[in-house]
Amino acid sequence: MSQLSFIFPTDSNNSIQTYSYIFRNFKIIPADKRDVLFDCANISFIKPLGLNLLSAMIFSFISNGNKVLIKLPNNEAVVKYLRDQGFFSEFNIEAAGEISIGTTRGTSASLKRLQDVMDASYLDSIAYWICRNSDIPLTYAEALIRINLVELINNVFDHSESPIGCYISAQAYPRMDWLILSILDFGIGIKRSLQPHYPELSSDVDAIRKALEEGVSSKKHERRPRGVGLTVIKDFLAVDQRGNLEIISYTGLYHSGGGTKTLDVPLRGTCVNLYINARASFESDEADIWS
Amino acid sequence: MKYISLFKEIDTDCTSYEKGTILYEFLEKTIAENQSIEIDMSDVFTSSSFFNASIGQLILKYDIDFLKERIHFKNMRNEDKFTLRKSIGNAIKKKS
Repeated sequence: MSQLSFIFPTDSNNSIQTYSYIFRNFKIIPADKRDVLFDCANISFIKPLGLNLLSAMIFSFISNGNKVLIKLPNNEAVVKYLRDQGFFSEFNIEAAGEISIGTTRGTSASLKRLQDVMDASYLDSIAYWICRNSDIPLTYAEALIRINLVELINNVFDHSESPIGCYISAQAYPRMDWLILSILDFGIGIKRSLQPHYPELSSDVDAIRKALEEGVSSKKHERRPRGVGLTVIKDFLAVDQRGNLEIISYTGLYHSGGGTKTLDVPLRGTCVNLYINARASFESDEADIWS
Repeated sequence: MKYISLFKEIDTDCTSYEKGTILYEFLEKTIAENQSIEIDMSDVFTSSSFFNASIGQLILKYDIDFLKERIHFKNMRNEDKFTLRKSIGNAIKKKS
């Protein structure tokens, strides 16, 4: 049986289309147990989406019982970045070169896989990490995490049916005054999640648009208030240009600043990227909560 | 006035719909006893799901002015207020 190879691009950036050629060969649950090589040798730059994709794919294959090999980046700065992000400890990688890996463990660093339990200490660590890597005050960083990340993780737990849970990665870009938070699952996607109650949804783009409407939820049948998670995030980021929201679910791509697009190759899961303006503020709120 | 610390009575993690239902049942009982309540939100993190299941559910059942008189929040962060307002707005929309 031949080895399956995935070559990560030199610029493993935050654009989903960069990885289309990888998705063509990637099935979430591979049918066979052949060896899988992740060739990262040429990576000279990797952003949160790239790191999440790499990690989630590796985890999927390991969980399936495949032997996974990684060719580490030649670029020492990238190796250091991966180490700092917790990638090596996530997969028990200790040496350099092409390495066989077979186990996973949690990490307290930036990269994190969450399966079904919200991890308060991790959320706090991300907030502190943002503070350390930007000018953002701790109270604002905590607000960012508590509003955005909590809602996204909750969505994964409630709706995605993702076999890997989700991978989360965050990075600050102080020179550009931007933070990127990325969360990725390999679940059923927004369209399949909503379709039982919204059969009129014909595309992933339609489904994403629908999910952004207030009160829309895959648990619609219950006569209870549901479905404001994504709206909370969209509205939070829209105030005073705090940032942008990007959602990719299978072939659907939505960007709050640039509309929608249908992708040629599906992601086979859902990814939400938050681009947050590091100079934005979160003013004190003394108004009546009921008003 | 009754008092509930979410941290002590529920969890630090007050994000799930199920945990919101626990708060809903506590609040429902308090209202049935014709009492007011102060909800202490120290040391917890919340989500819209949690508020939908607790406060949102009550809004479907009771008048908002009535709830405003009965339910008071303590140590509430700005981000909790932001999320709760979205949840209240959604419940009012669903009710109408």
